[in-house]
Amino acid sequence: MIAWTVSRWLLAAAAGDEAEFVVGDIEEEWSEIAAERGKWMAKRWLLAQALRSAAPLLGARVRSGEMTGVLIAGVLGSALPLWLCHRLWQFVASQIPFKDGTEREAWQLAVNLMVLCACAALAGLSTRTRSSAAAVAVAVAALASSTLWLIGAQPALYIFLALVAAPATVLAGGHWRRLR
Amino acid sequence: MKWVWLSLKALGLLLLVIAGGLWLAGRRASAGHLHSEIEVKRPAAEVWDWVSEPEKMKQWVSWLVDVRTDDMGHGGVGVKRVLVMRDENNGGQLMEIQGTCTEYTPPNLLRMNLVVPGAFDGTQAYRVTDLGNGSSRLEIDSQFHFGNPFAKLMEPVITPSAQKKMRRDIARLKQLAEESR
Amino acid sequence: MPKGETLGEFEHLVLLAVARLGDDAYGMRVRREISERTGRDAAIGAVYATLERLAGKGLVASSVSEPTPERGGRAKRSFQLTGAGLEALRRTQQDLAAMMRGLKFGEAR
Repeated sequence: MIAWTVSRWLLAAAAGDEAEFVVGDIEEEWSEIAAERGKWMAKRWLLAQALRSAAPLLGARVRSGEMTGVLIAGVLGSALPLWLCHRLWQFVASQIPFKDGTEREAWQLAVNLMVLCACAALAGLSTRTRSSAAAVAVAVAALASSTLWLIGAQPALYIFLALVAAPATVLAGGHWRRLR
Repeated sequence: MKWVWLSLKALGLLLLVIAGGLWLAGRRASAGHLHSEIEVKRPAAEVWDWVSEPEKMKQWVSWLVDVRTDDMGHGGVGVKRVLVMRDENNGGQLMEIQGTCTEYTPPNLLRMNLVVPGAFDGTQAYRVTDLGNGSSRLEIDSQFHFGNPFAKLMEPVITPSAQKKMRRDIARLKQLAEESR
Repeated sequence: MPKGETLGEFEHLVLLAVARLGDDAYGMRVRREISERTGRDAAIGAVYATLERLAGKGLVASSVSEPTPERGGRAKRSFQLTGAGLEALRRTQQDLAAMMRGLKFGEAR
């Protein structure tokens, strides 16, 4: 079950708009192999196919320019809002006449999370398919974690909430768009 | 894309509302005003030293790295003092606050004009009141005005943070004064 | 295909598989055709990436069929050789034949 889910997600994330056809082919061949050689061999075959297919499919997406869109959505959906919030609170703290440290108040971190979720939702709204929403969610999570590390964010709870909420909001935004 | 544009417009409107709210809040009577007071179990003369001597000030005012003064060991009206602050939110840059003493009544009142050209200007008063029984009350009262337009807009956010910082500093002064012999 | 642009080795195999399979040329069938004839176990992702590249060069065209239960209710994208694709295969075959003419493969040294 896990091998099947992981493989499907790997293929769907990599293939973008082609995901439906790729996953359909995989399912069709998987049924044939399971009937010929048994389920265990079919699972091994499935995992191997998913791992070996991810790189060429991602390469095709990069060449088609689709990944550029995903990266842009990732930057606008997470890295940019996090960076802007960080700069805003840096400015506020540096305006205090007798200065202050770099620790942020809880309410400031809450504002950061709200802004992050709003921008991530917008990034999700810009996606058309489930697989492109998944790709943007992965990009948002990766870029959010890089940005949080670069700015020295703390505490750990804030980082955890940001890394969970941002991709979840992307997926929610994409899902809402498809429902409309 | 229609929903993306609609959401962007809504966000833009929200930002305008927030900016408007900040601008209105910045027009309140207490804008830029800070006040803290604390009771210290030490006589007024000892507390006075903590607010007037540069070496003692560096111990309780966080991010204060140096105090340069031309008073030759004697305070007084007109004496100039430069407070050098380290700004951790600006890459650790050093900022100099130019201070000029406007009232000097040891061991009860020290008032200074403070200015950083282009950033802010204001006044800060330290009032020490003897309560008897070897205790005294220290009050710090400040009023600041920001020069940067964005800082002026953000004043309703800056002042509460500055207030919290002042309370932490004054609590440190109390701890240091009471622990010292 | 512009003069001077040649097919890569895997592109050639995929194009040949599409030519062999006719109306039944889609990702999985192309992969299996290559695997059965050459013993080469290609990844489905590599096949699809190559088919997209060939479509970009105008050597194949694609069409989408209705979803089927065997595919978990998913549609199938089938590929057909275009005139340019046929011409590319002919040219590649001629080039290979020209390079092979007169060669004898003896024992390895």
